[in-house]
Amino acid sequence: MLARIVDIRRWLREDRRTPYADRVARDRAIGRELRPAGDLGRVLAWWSALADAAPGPERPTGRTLGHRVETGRRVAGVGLGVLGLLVGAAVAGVAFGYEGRYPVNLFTLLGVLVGLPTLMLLFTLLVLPGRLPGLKSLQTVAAGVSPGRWAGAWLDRLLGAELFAPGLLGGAANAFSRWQLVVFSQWLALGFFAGALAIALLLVTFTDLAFGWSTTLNVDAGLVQALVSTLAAPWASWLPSAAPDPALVEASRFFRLDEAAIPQERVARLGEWWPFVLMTVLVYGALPRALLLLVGLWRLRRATRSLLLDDPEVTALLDRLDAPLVALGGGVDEGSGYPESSGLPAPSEALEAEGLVMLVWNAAATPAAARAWLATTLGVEPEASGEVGILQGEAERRDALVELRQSVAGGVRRVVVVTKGWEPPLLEFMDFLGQVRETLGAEATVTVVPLDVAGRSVRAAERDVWARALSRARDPKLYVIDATGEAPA
Amino acid sequence: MIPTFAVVGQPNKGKSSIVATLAEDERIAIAPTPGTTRTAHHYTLSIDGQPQYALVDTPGFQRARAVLDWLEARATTAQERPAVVARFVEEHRDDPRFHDECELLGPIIDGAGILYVVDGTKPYGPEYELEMQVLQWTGRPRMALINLIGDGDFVDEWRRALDQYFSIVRVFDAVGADFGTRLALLRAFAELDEGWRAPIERAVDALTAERERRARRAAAEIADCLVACLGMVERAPLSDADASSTDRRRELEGRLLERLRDGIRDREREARDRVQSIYRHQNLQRHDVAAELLATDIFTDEGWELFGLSRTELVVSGALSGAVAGGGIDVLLGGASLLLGSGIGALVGGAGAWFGGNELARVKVLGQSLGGRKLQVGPVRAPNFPWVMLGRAWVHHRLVAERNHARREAMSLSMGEESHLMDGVPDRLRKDLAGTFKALQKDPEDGQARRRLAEQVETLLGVEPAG
Repeated sequence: MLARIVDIRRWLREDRRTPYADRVARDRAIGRELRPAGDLGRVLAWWSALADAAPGPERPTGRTLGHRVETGRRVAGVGLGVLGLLVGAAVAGVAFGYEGRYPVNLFTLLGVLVGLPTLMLLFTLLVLPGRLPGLKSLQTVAAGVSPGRWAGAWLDRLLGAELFAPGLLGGAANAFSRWQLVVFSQWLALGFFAGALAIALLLVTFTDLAFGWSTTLNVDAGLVQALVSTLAAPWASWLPSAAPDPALVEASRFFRLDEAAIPQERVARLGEWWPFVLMTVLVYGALPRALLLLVGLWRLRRATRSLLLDDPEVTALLDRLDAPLVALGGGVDEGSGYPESSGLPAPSEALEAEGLVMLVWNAAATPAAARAWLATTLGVEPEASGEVGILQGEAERRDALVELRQSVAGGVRRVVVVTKGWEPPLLEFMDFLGQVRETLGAEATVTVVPLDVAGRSVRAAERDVWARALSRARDPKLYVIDATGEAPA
Repeated sequence: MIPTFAVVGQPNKGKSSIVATLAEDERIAIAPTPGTTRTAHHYTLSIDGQPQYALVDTPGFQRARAVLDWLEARATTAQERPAVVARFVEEHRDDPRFHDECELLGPIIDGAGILYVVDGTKPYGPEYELEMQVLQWTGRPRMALINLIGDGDFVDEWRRALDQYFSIVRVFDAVGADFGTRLALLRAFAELDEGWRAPIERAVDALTAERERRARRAAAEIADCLVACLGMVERAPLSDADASSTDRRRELEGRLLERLRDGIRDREREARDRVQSIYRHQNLQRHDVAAELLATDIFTDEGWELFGLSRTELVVSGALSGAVAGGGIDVLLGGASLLLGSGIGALVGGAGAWFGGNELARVKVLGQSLGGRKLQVGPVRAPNFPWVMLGRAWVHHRLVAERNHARREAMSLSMGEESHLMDGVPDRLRKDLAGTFKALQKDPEDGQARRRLAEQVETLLGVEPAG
């Protein structure tokens, strides 16, 4: 599962570059197909669905970072176990060392094989509760001396995973790395005890080991008997041979200065300690480690799930899987219906009054106001003027134009069309300009004058809109007055 | 058929802006040039693929007079009118003269409601009545929207005219409308037809829930960014030559400081892009000023590490390991060594770690060095730093969340590091945030503090920024 979790977390980090709307649509589409399950199950099912949907080249292959991490973790666990086996065998070889002169001292033996490992176990336990007030340095050191941490740091550096370096503080990542440290350490410890027990059994089988107890302290056999009985209590009832009796304890004391330390008749009994020794190492050394390994594996599994489910990106993913997809419709990029050119130019010559008629379109201004604008701005007075608009029918407009043409004795040479500059140039207006051209003659110049609401010239931007729209008529004598409203030079 | 609303009117009255606002689509073409919309486009709101309603963006009326003339020539009674309009569309579908009219009338004769858009900042003109009459002929439910594009105010005269043709008349500033106004408009759509109420209400509920989700996601992004910036450090190996020369050390420190600034700037930019993406403003341009960091605010340290342990920790670890090993010898000797083994082991282990650490740090295992001397710049320790970053994110979020998709100009973020950005934060929330910042400055990996921060930022996003 770790492989998938590592890959999912990494993939989701990279997926943050995908536009949010696309992520929502993709994940909800998958989410709707998923069977009801817990959060973890849904995330893993989403991952599978995503992989299935990915095109061939993008499909995750076997050698992802997750797989490398998984393999690395397995190799590290096995490596630590083997290392522990070798160390345990070596230590047991020394601790059981018996050259035949003195018995193997039980205090020494159990101190090395049970006492010291128990001390190390306590160090490991010190790391587990997270930060303890006042013990931060000790906890840091406890984590620092742990072979599990060293293995984790090495894996992190090797794989670039930033996963195993344990911290003492909160957070799912730290919980994961702490329990990984515990598991790594227990593999080493179990390897140690396996190696030690194997060597002990070999020595028991193939050599004549003798055990005794010796101490400088003023300890009588009764106290040692009590200690031994207490240690052997868990198995004394069903394995009495591994629970030494008082006579054996009494008979096993020796002093190194005493050449005849143990009477010859009792020497034969000294070998009877070995079941007790093996059971003590097994129960007080290996068993706690095995239990801690089981707890560690269980908690590591939980921490691994938390590593995934506590990830903010995964929380967001679950939200995307569950929340109904609200789609607002697809956008369409449209090009402009108008040419990108600047459109019609301003008239190339000054407007003159001769043969000039003025038309006011759609009541853009009163005829008087339009005349005043022409007089003030362009300094011309039209010979004739009229009002036309969309409310009139086509025939009615034509009649108005014919009437206007007939009112100019010398013929219409110039036409000014005053229009609402704030309104868009509609095709209806283009139709009207066609009518103007048709009725008033092909030679007349037609100048469109868009005015603003207050009867002034429109701004350059609005003039440009008109110029661009009217350029579609492709009429070489059609102009739009320039933005200033001033007569061209 | 789902409720469908054809957004119609003359060109350049903001029809596309209204659709862009309601559909939250910044790609819809909006331009001052009339006729930017050439064909009708449907924007369907769906929940999990189930359509709830559709908006149709249409080209504007171009020849209303000619259309009305054609209609009037063919119908004498009111009950004939809708069929005549349908005939018009049928007969002119391929006529380029009436392309725009067919595009806008097509959805209406197919059953769409009418949203007629005018510009309330420009004067009313009687020529508009022609298109209102054409719409009236369709017999479909109609609503008029008075959009506000410019500076003038002719809303009252528009109202008087529109009231005669439309059952509902609403003022709606397409570019300035916030989320609440948009929802209110959607609810008004439902008033056009009783049968449309349920799907519109579902859509409103879904949009409201979606809005909450977006705020939650945005809060998470902002919190992530804050956590990243609070814990950001830049490290570089410090060679013996760098360490012995003050100038070289300062130069390296300067480079790391610049990298730290760039890193924080990039992270903030990344978070802003993500927040904009959440609110469907992917293409929104920003003019913003990056937060400035004072060099004095930034923690600088020269350190040494091996296996992630500092030199002191390594020495203690070494001494302890030595003591344990020596203790083993003591035990093996049955206490005869009088704990000399432990003592010597501790000394040897500690000294070995101190003197041998440098050598070990240079060792490479599978290409990876085990440790060494390092120069670190960061994290930023200034107490004001998280508040400045949060204040900037808060204001940015507010602008993005309320920004209308019809607006096309770049967004200006001119705020600097002024602390007044946070003035509007309620005292309780401010206190909670201060506690979370403290925890995160101590340990940026603190998962609980991270979660708390995301929740607090979410609460904050619901508060109006000061100024």
